[in-house]
Amino acid sequence: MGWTRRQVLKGLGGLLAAGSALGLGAATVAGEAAPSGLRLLGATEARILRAAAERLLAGTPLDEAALAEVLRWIDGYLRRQGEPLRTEVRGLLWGLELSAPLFGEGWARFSRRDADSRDAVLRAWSTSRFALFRQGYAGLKGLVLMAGYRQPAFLRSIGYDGPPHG
Amino acid sequence: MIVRGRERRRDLRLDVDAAVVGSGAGGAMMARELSARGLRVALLEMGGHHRPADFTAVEADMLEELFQERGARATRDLSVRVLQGRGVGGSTVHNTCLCKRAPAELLARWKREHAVSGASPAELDPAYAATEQELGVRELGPDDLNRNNALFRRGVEALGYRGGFLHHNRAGCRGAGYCELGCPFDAKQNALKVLVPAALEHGAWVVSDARVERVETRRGRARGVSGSLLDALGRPHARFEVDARVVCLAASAVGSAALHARSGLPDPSGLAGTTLRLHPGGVVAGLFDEEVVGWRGVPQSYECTEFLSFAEDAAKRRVWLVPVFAHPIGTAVQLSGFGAAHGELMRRYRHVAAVTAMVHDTTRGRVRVEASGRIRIDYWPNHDDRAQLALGLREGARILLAAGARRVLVPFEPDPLWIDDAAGLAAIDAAAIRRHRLPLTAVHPMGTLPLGDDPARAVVDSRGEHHAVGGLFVCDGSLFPTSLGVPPQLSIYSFARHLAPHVAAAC
Repeated sequence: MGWTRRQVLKGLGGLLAAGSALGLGAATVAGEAAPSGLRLLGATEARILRAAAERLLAGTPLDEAALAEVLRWIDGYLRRQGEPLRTEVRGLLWGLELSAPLFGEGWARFSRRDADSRDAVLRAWSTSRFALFRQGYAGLKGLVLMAGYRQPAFLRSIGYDGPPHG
Repeated sequence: MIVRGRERRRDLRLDVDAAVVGSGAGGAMMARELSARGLRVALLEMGGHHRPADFTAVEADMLEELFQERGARATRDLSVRVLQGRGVGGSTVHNTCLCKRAPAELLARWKREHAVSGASPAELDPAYAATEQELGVRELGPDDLNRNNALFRRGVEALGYRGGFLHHNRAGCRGAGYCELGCPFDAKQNALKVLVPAALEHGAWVVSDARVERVETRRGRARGVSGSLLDALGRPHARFEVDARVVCLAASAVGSAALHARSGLPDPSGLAGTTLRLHPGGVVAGLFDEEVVGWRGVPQSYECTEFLSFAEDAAKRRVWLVPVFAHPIGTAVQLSGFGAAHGELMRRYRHVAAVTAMVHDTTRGRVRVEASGRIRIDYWPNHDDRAQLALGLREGARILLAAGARRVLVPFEPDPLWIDDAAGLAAIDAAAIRRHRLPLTAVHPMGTLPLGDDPARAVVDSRGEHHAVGGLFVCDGSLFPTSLGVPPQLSIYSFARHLAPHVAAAC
C-alpha cells in the first residue's frame, strides 16, 4: 500500500527531526560552507546530493565540473519550484543521509560512505517494501539524471546530436 | 490583443462575454469559434506565449517551459509521470500531432450508458471534418517513416498484426524530430499556430502567464474568473479579474477539475475530479545491431491496433501499440537502475527502437487540491488495466523481436528484464507491474468532469454546461465519460467546435 504525500513528509520530517536531535544541524553542519553558486541548498544538503549524484551518474562523463553543474542546476530548479517540493526534496536528502540503519547497512551517514556502500543504500531504497523509499529513489534519480543529461558532454557520450540548431 | 502577464506589473480587469480558461485544443478552438461569432472573448493561459524561435529544442529548457510543474508533474506517489502542456497552445505545442477520431462504438456506448446526446458519429462528423481540414490533417505514408517506425512496421507485418499509418496535423515538416519540445520550424498546425491567431484576428484577448484561481459565481451562475499574473519564474506579481457572461473550462482534465475544486463549485453527482482516466503507457525497448537514431524524423507515424477493439465483446483487447522515442532526459529517467549499468544502457541509445503500450483504461483516478494549493493526482491502474498493460508490453516486445531486435529490455527497477526470444515474453505479466517497479507515463488525461444528461451521473450536460452552475461550460478532455482509448487532441478540438453554438447562445 502506498503512502500519502503527507505521510512521506511526516516520515522524512521524522528522520530530519531525528537528525537534528542527534546534533546534526538543520541544513548545514557548523564550519561547513556551501559550494559557491548554491542559493537554496545548505552545505550539508549539497554534500548529500553530491554523494548521491556521484553514484547515480557513475559510468557517465561525470567530472568535477559536471558534478558542480548538477548541483547548481538542481539548486536553481528547486528555487523555481513551489515550496512544498523544496521541503520534500530537502527531507528526502536528509532521509537518505540517515536511513542506512533501517536497511541493516550500518550507522554511517550516506555522504560518509564509500561508493559500494552508497550503492547498497540507493538500491535498498529502490527495492524497499515501503513505497516511501521507492518514491524517494524515483524522485532523486529523476532529478539527478535530468541535471546530468542536459549537459553537452553527456549528450555527446551517447551520440545524441541535438538540438538541431544552436 | 495579446497581454503577456510576465511583462505586466499592473492589475488587469476585463469585461467580456466569455472567459475561456486554458488555451490548448479545447480552449483555443472555443475562443476562435466564439470570437468569430462577434463575441468578446478572453482566452486565459497560465503559461507563456511563445514564438517558434523560443522553441530551442534543448530538452531540459523546454521541459521547464512547456510542461506543467516544469516537467515534474506526476501522481502523488511518483508512480506515473503525467506530461501536460503549459503555455499558449497547451499540449498541442509538444504533442506528436496524432489525430484520430473517437471510435463509433465508444460514442454509441456513451449514449447508451452515460446518457450523452447529440454526439453520435454522424452528429460529430461536421465538427471533425471541419477541424481536420482546418488543421491540415492527413494520413502519413511510407516516406514519413523514420527508422524507429519502419522497424515497428516491419515487426507488425511479420507477425500479421493489424497496423496502419497514422494521421497527423503537420505541414512543411522537415523531419527534424523535436516535436515533443515544440517545433522550431513551425510545422505543427496546432492551436498556437492556427486557432489563437484567428481568435486574435476576431478581437479576442489572449492573456498569457495568467493563473486562474477561482471561478466567480453569483446566484448559481458563473460570472467570471479571477487569479494572478505570473512573472517569468511563475511567481504572482499582479492580479486579474475577468467579468464574463459565461466561463469555459479548458485547462485539461487535471487543471479544470482542480479549478472546479478550488472554486468550491457545487457537485451534485459527486463525480467532479473522481473519474480521471490517464490512458497510461509503459515502454519496451529493442536493441538493434544497426543504428536506429530514433529521435530523428517524424515520430509516431505507424500504429498497431491488433489488441485494441471497442466492440462490446472486446474487453480483453484494450491496448494501443505505437512506436515511441524520448530525448536523452526522458530516456534516462525511464531506464532501469543507476550508475555504471545505467550508463552502459544509455550508450546504446543510437541503437534503440522503442514501443509504448497505452491502455484504454477503466481505472478511476482522482484530482484534488492540497491545503498548500498544490494539485494532487491519485492514480494507479487496477488489475484489469495492469493485465492489459502487460499484454501490450509482451506484444510490443514480440514486435521488436520480429523486427530483428537482438534483445528487448523491459525497464523494471532496479534491474531490467531482458528478453531474447518469444519464450521470455511470459515473464511480463500483471503481477510484475507494481508501483515504482515499472515507470509509467501518461500524456492523455481525460474524464474528470464528464458529460451526460443525467445530473446524477455527470457533471455537465451534453451541451457542455454544468448541471448546477449556469453559464459554466467545459470544453476540454475533462468532458469524456470514459477513456477514449486513442489520442484525444482531435476529439478535444472537435468537441469544442461542436459545443460552441451552445456556449454562444448562452452569452
